[in-house]
Amino acid sequence: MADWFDKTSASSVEPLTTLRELEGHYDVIIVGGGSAGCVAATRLSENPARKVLLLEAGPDPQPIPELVAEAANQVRLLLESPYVAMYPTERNSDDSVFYSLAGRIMGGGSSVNVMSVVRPTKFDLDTWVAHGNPDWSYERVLPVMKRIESDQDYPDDPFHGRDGPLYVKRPFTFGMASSAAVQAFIERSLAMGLPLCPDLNVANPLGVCASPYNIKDGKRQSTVVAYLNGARGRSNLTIIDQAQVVSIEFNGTKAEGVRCEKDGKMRTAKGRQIVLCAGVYHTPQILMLSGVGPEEELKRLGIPVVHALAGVGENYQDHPVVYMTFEGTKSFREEWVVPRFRLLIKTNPIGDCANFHIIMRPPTEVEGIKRMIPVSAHLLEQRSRGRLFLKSADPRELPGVDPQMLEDPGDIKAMVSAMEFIAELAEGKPVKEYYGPLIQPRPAEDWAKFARSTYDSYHHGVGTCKMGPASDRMAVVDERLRVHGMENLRIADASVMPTVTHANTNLTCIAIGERLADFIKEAA
Amino acid sequence: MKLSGTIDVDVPAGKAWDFVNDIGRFSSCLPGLEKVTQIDDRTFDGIIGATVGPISGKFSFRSTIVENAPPKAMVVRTEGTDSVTKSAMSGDLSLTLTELEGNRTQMAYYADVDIKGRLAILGDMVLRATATLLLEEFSRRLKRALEADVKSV
Repeated sequence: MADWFDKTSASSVEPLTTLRELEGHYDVIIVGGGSAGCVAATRLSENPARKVLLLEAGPDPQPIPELVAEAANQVRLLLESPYVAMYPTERNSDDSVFYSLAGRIMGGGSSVNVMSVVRPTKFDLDTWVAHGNPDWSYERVLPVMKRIESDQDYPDDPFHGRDGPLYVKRPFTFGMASSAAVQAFIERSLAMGLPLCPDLNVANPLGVCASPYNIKDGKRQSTVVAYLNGARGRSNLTIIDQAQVVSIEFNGTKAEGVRCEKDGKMRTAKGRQIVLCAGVYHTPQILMLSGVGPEEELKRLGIPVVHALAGVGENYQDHPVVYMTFEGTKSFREEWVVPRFRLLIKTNPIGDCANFHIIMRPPTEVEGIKRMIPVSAHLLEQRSRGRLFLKSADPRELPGVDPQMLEDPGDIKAMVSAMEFIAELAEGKPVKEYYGPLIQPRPAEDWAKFARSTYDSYHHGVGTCKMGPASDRMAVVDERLRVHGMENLRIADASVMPTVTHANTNLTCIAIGERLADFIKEAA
Repeated sequence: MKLSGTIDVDVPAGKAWDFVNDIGRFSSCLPGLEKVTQIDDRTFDGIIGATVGPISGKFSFRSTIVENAPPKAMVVRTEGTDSVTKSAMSGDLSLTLTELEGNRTQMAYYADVDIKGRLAILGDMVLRATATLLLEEFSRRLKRALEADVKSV
């Protein structure tokens, strides 16, 4: 066993019952108060007879700090707050580093993200069904999407919900007055043959789309605001923050509790069911630290194998982003945080689905140099697969990420096509009034090489505990989110997605939290 | 973040070398430089003010000449911190001078910059283009200053 476990065994481990609020056993322990975890804790504690414990590694500040609560602070939140975990990630082409990010605060990603509310496409859910998960068809998931939202723009639409906890509104609609620059960008996009798509959350969106956000009166509607705050008074719900779960306690292959570090001491909590909602990076980490994962990897790290499960940490996917930066010819300032619309285009896609977000960015002005105006291309699929791996058996060490983004020739071909689309868009009237010569990449540069050596993440990592049938040896959970080969152990977060959605992933995580609660309720 | 390029100037290599070793004149070519203080022959401190995207702040740095092979090559190591995110930036700038025909000189630079801290989130999205343009503008000013210097002699 690794040193860290030796140091924290027996003498320093105290039962959680030493903390008054944690006395007794729980019906459900939820590990991770992120987008899915807050939803699951809220839904499962609706039944006063069900005793629920929610453990979050980050803080649960009350009231929510202004830096988090005010939507307009989003960039400052990323750059200045202590609530974002950064995972150094090396690009495969040249080992240069970018940072994968995750929220480390109650609400997880929903407390630090850009607040887009975008549904998975029908193609995504069809793909999940094709991976052996028939319970995740578009038809089965749509009612969940509807019950989540309170859509301010389409309250009476049969594909939308009007009474859900999550406030959804598009800050920009096509009938609305906008700046001349935005009008020019949209006009040019339409001239290039893209259709207008007023609702991004249709089954198969394409074209110039109005972007929906979970911002109400300027305030972020995280899963803390939309869900958890309404459940805090329940006597059957215990919420503990700054408690980092390091492993699961097993009796054979039956999960019986969790070990966590709280106030510098190791403690244990017992539960009839354990649900990992620690996210795409930490859920597989906790599993592997607990002895559940690829056998050879666990042996290499000196972790006793409880249950060999080859897929833990594998199947990692994300969305790569490449910036095309033009010389800005005019000064204008759109809202920094909220791109009011985005283009959904299709270039060399895997399936019949738009595979890029193209986002107009406001100019960057630095005194003494030319004005820069970028347009970003976000590839919404990944043909190759990365992986998440442990660097050591120390739970305090962040796991490593091998991204494998833009490594497949099909993906790089798609990215270069999208970059060519952007270049063509910027050259045409009337948008040309705002976009001067291309600064980066240079027109004569190798754009494929540029993309592979400068891409960043859209921060939509998924897939490290893939959902699929037991016959798929890389599957970690079944379609009702139960870990294969284990008892009383489920996973509900971005890690279960078999493929990355053609959308921002937060809303899908919320839906996974909702469905987890359904599955547990149905099994009771 | 790796950046490289060349600056061709219509002055002999010796003149170009003298210029880049004169910290006052050399640093005057840096866009946004608000203050520079020479510490010794090889070291100077500076402050650059910049607004990058939604972030406006000061960048305080110390540069030290760590390798010097007159009149051909030098390596300048720079370490600094930004005032907003307290991120640390460090990097080596290698400068190689090659004399060309007709009393001209090519100055080739290669910079390998490492950013640690929150500023790295902006990474290649914003900082790369900004750094590219800053170097471009620096090159333009350097060329202009050097060539004006020679003409005025």
